[in-house]
Amino acid sequence: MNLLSVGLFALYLSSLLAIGAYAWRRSKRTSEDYFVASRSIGPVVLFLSLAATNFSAFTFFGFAGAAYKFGLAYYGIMAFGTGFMALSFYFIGKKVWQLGKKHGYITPPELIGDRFKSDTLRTLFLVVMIVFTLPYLATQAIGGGIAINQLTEGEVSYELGAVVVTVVILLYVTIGGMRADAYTDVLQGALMIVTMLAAVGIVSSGLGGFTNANERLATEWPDLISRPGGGNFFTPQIWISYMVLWIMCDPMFPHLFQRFYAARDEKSIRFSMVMYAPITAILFLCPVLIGAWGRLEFPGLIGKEPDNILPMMVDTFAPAWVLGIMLSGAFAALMSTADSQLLVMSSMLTRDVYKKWLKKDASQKHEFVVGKLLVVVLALLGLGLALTSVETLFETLTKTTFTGLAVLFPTVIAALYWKRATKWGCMASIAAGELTYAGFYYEILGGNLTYGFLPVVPVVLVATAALVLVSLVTSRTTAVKRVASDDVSAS
Amino acid sequence: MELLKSKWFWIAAFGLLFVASLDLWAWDWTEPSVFGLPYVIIYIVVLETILFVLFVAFARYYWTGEGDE
Repeated sequence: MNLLSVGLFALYLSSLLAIGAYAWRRSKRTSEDYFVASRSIGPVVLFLSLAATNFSAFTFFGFAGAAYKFGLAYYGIMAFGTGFMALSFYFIGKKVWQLGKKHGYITPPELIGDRFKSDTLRTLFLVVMIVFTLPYLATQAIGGGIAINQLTEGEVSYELGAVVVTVVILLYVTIGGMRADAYTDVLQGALMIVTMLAAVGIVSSGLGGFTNANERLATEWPDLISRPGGGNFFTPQIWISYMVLWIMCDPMFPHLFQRFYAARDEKSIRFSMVMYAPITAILFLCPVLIGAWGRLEFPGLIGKEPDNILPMMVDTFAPAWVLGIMLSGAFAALMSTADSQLLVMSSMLTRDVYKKWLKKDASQKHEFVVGKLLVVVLALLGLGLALTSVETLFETLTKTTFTGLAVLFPTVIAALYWKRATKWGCMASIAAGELTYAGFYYEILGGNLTYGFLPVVPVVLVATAALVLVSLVTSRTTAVKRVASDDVSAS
Repeated sequence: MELLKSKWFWIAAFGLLFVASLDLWAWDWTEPSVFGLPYVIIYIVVLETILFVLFVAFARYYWTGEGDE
């Protein structure tokens, strides 16, 4: 175990706690302040917070592993797809911010339930968000446990590592809420960028220089520099599918959705949109390059082994103490996602369950206390999932998070833009979308029905069709009933 | 400048950029070029640059003001 490496990592964790304490001193002890920082987050902090929250451990380890398998074309799908997704900051973020400010919304289900005047729809929306976010929270604890285990060369167990990561997140989220969450995101976002750029520099230098590494890759693994990629993985249908997935799924992550409420003004959201293109262009290239270069050093990895290619490459070419700094970057990615997930789930359970069903007259101060308690409960639940690994269900939910949440996209668009949409249409949309996805996932529906696209494309089409059809039918029925009722009243 | 305030201009601009990302006319073509990076990377970096410029113009000329709902 390299003591300098561990010391630097401990310094990083201490900085997070110090930022949490600073945020706590500025807090107002109300639920609005705790969950959305009194809608006061300015442009730079909002941008880095959105980015750090959006980019999880998968951005580091997953991208590198995928590039190892499929090649550099993975960069296009991730970087351009995510950059383009920022357009949703206009057509979703702006409206969500305006409505949140006007009506005092704090959670995503509040907006949906209020728009359609339906507690059932609000609860359905909540359940989908929680079901697909909780397992994702646990994967961040798992990633943290594995990374600490690697950092200490096995001297700290995976379980203890997961506990350490969870406790640190728990401390600063509990005391500082959204403000601590956003401020730590600034440090974590900066750390991610710096460590990734440094990693590319170190690894390419070890491979004989940046240009040399790329030319060797082109010579030794030509399929990895082609657009179709290794194993001809990328087809135009797959490309379109990923674009659809990012645009429809990312804004449906409750932790991203809630950040729109936290913005100080529209200018902050505008700035975040503009900066998303350069950040994805620069940041995403780094793990993709390192992953593809990994074939030059470790050509025979199979199964899940490529997911470790990034630390393996850094470990090969960097002094031991640098690995600690690099892993801090990975920790920054996973912790900035986990803390936001923890906070948004706590806010939803506080506002959409506790206040809605159990204590309708709860004051903001009361909600603030309940929210903190729920943060603790959820963190322990996530840790419990990570340690016990309730495999089948847990893995299934993790794998299906993105498409499972994308099903909510038509409902949100209808809530914001389509006056004729009804609660029945939205409930039918969510039910039909999730059932169709389950059909594809469990292979009840034939894979040929996707026509080469990922399931997200037919799933969203079904969800949209259900929303439109059922809304048209039920809005007409409602209108007829209203006319009949008016006639009766008139007579 | 009036053009930049038109909704249809922006729908066309972002729509065309999305279509351009498909790059079907050069799907199989790849050659190492700048710093040994292949065409697919250079192409995406160019698209990201165009996206950034579009976002800047969009924020400046179309998405303006602090309007309420």
